[in-house]
Amino acid sequence: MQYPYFPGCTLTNKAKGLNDMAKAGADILGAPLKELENWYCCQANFSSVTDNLMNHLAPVRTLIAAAKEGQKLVVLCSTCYYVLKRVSAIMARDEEKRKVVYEFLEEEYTKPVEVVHFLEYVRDEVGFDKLKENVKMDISVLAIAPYYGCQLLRPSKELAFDDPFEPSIFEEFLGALGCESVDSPFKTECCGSFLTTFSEKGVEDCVDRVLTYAGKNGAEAVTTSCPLCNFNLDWAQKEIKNKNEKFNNMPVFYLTELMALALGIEVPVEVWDEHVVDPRPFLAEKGIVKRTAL
Amino acid sequence: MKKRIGVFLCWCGSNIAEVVDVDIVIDAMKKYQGVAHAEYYKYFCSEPGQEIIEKAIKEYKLDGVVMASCSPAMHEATFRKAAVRAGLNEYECEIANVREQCSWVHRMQKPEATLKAIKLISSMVEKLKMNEPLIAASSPLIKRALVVGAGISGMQTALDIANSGHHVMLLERDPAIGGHMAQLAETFPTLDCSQCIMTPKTVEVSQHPRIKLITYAEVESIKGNVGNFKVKIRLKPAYLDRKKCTGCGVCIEKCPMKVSSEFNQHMGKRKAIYVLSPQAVPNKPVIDRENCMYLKNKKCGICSKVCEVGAIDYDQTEQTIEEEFGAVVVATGYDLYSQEKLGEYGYGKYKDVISGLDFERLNSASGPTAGEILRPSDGKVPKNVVFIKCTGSRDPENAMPYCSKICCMYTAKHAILYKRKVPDGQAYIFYMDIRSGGKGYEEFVQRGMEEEKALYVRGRVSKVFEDDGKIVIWSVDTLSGRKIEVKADMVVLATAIVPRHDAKDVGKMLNVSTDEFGFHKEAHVKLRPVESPTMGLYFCGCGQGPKDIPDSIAQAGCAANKVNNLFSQEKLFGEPVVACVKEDVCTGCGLCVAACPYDAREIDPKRKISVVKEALCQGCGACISVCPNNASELKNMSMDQVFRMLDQLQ
Amino acid sequence: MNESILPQEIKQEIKETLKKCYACGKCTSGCPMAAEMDFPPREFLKMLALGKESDMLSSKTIWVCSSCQTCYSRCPFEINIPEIIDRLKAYVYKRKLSNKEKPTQVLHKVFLDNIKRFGRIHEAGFIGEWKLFSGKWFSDLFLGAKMFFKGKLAIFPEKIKKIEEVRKLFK
Repeated sequence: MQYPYFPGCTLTNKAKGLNDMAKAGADILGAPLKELENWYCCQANFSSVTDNLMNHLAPVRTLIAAAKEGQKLVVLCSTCYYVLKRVSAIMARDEEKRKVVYEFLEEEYTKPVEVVHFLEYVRDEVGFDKLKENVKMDISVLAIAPYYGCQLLRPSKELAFDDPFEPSIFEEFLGALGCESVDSPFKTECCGSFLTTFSEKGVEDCVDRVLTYAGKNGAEAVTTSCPLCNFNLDWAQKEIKNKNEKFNNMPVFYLTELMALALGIEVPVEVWDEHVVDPRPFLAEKGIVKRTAL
Repeated sequence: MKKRIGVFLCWCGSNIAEVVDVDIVIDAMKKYQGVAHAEYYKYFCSEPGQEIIEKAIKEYKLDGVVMASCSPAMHEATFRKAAVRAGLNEYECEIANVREQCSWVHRMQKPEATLKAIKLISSMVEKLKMNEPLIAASSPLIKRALVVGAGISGMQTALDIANSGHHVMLLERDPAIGGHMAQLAETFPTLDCSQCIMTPKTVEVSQHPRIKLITYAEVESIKGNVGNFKVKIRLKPAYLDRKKCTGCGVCIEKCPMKVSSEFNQHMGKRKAIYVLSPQAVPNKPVIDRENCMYLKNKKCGICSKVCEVGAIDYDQTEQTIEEEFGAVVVATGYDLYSQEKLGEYGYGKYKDVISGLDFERLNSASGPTAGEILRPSDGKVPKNVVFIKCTGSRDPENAMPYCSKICCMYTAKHAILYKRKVPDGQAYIFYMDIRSGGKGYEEFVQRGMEEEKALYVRGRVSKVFEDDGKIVIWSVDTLSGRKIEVKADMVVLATAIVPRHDAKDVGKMLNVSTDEFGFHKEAHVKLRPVESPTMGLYFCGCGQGPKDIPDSIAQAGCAANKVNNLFSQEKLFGEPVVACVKEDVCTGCGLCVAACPYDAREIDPKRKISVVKEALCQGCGACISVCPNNASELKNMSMDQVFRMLDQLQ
Repeated sequence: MNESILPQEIKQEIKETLKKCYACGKCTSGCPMAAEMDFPPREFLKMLALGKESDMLSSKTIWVCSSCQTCYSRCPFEINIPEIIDRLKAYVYKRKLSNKEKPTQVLHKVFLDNIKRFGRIHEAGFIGEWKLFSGKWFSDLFLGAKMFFKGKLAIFPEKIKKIEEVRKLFK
């Protein structure tokens, strides 16, 4: 079953590692991602103000477009997932709002579209077993801490993605890829999010906690599905290291990069170049990628 | 049809006579059809007044009496007794309320009040004309009670009933009695050892000549009604002949199969053949079918070989017995809220995050650490212990909305016990409110703060995680507004009390209604707190709601007293004003059966019509309002009577 | 006219929500940003309950909240603190009230303006405007953030066929 795929603004540009590798992986798994014909920016920030319809209109527009192409909409970026899913929840429960939308867009929101994350897509439509069968490279030497962040999990009643405290889908995914997943107490805590634009200290504190505890529990790298988390976790390390000598830098992977490695997809140099903490020495040291190949 | 009715109008001092013109009323009533005599008096409720009534009944050969007086709630019983003394049935005396419903409310409209009094009295005369003498139906009463659950409240209620001279069967699901109290170390606010104060009761229960104790058994079904319940009881196989067994314990010692101990909150091991605790009553083991190697695949059999009296019996099977009881007391107790659902506290994930009940076992001399406070992960003495209150309680959106009532006190107790055993340790208590209502309770909490230096911090914990062998707690001190991080060696959660996991099903089976959480629902929350709406069913203990030991004991006594009240009668007399069926009109649709809250209606399978079990009927009228054919009626309140009464009131 | 007073209906709605709060502090306990706030979540709610909304409109708290939803998820009464904060932010933004923590505010504004204009975010315009408004250039993380958003914002306006409709969204 093929469902429309919503890449979102960031993935079409900056987060190539997330997007291109997802597409390549999905092709190998026989569940190619078909980009939604007409998609709009999710607005990158869900307005919790439920009566603030203006901030919900663009996602609604995307949902209407998606409904024409399938029952589900596959989303990879955590922020987009969060915004689209919450907006779809509001639309599903609020008839009043649907009317207003109709008056405004002159297009009706009728068919509810189920917003699913890429991880759910792989689990439910491909199956982690099949993912495992397709693994070509042994990456069992990698000890990776999955980092969920906020936007996949909370508010849990609305998103219903996984257990809000002990989620496991990421671990199952990594397990299928064959690498060791490391549990850490801050895997579901905030990375600092958009505060990166002004409160460096707040973000650094958050990132420090996430990475330090992942390291303490034996992780050598972390992985995310969120471009913003990825950015914070990756960029903030330099400043943290400046302030604290003992801090250990740690590569931050997109989950699809790890998937690409395991499935034997050749990861382009540009993708690795996007990283701040270069993962290539780490991968080379582990024998996953030959130093010369990079 | 009554033809010689007497009307007695009471002045009620001046209460009635000042407003209602009594002469006019008496004149009118004397002329009323069917009235043979009418008179007034200043106070009919007085002794001379009652004599007047009695004399008049005899003198005028009256066949019914209407008292025009105050509300029936005041003196209906007085006047009915007077009528009975003069030879009438009590239901041949009716009250027309001309005080509360007339003179008191129409003080400024005297002529109208007089007219209204005549109407009220006439209406009652019309009703009385068709009244029949009623006698309450009686049914046999089995004076033997069943108590389900042998925790502290079940044991107490059984003892109280038995000590009043009645026979009791006390049923326990576990292999031994004592319930949760047997697991506790010390008890607040006096810190006496739980086992020590309970043992006299467990021993008395097991030796009482009028208590039949049955452990390792469950109620399977219950049928019948108050006075005569038929109960099926399932006896689980112990794979051991308890009569032969001497309780020597060699079988337990030699059993090679170690299993996690439920009694020790899974912090210690027991064998596949086991007794709950060293003080267990009865102190005879049972074999756990799930884990016994012989029962699973015929290997081992050591217990049978070492038993000198040959008590082991692998061929035992489940048995069902049927017993009869007059009353049932349900004392099924509580469970703890499943803490795995509270992910932020890390219970189940971190070994050193434990529940209050776990902590009791750590403190208990018979527990897994022989009473030493050692944390589960590495057996070290924890120097910093964090107690978190209200875990699962007072959290309407995520867990239980109610207050579990006992946690404030037992947490204070825990802090004190901890400091006694670890004098250089520090207890932190995260609380929202300290609820210490109860005798000596507030003083006890203060003692924990002042003498044992327990540090109370007002704030709810949001995150618990492990770091370098410590448990880190993220909380807040709301009184200073500061966020707080505590690195502790162990965390104790004061977990919400919830009904037994199967409370709703058991309630349904026992015909005890339960609330949204599964706690027993009382007939009246304040005035009838131990009675079920179904007659003959009572409850006590934490099955009804969270409560501490003193409250459980008090409630147990209350339930026992209700049973004793019931058993003080020779036969069961019901309410005489009960429903009856117009048999030629009833179609047997069964709506009344469904509507009856007292199980007093059933369909006669032969005649295919509804019948009334008069001993159970409470005369509530629910069947009358649902009957589509007006075939259901209350005695002395037929449609005919009601319409005749209404005619007079127009 | 006192602009810092919230409209009555919003005030009323917030007050209704806050009636449930029994001040357990779980919101502050779990807040990753509490240390950065002048009024941590519980204090913030208390101030609102006391009618000090004008103080809260100019608080740092509303801009420091990362909207991680932890407080909302764990609150015993599901008090939607992120929504309350969003409301206040929206109000400040509309009335151009606060000067605190301007960069985020500008970020929000410029972000929306861009979508309005191009359907998706236009890189050059966005960064340019942000520079202009925020005046915040030099911190390393900030430069990184700029790069991040730069990537994010590179646009293919031609992909949006119905740009008129997008504009309509913002009318």
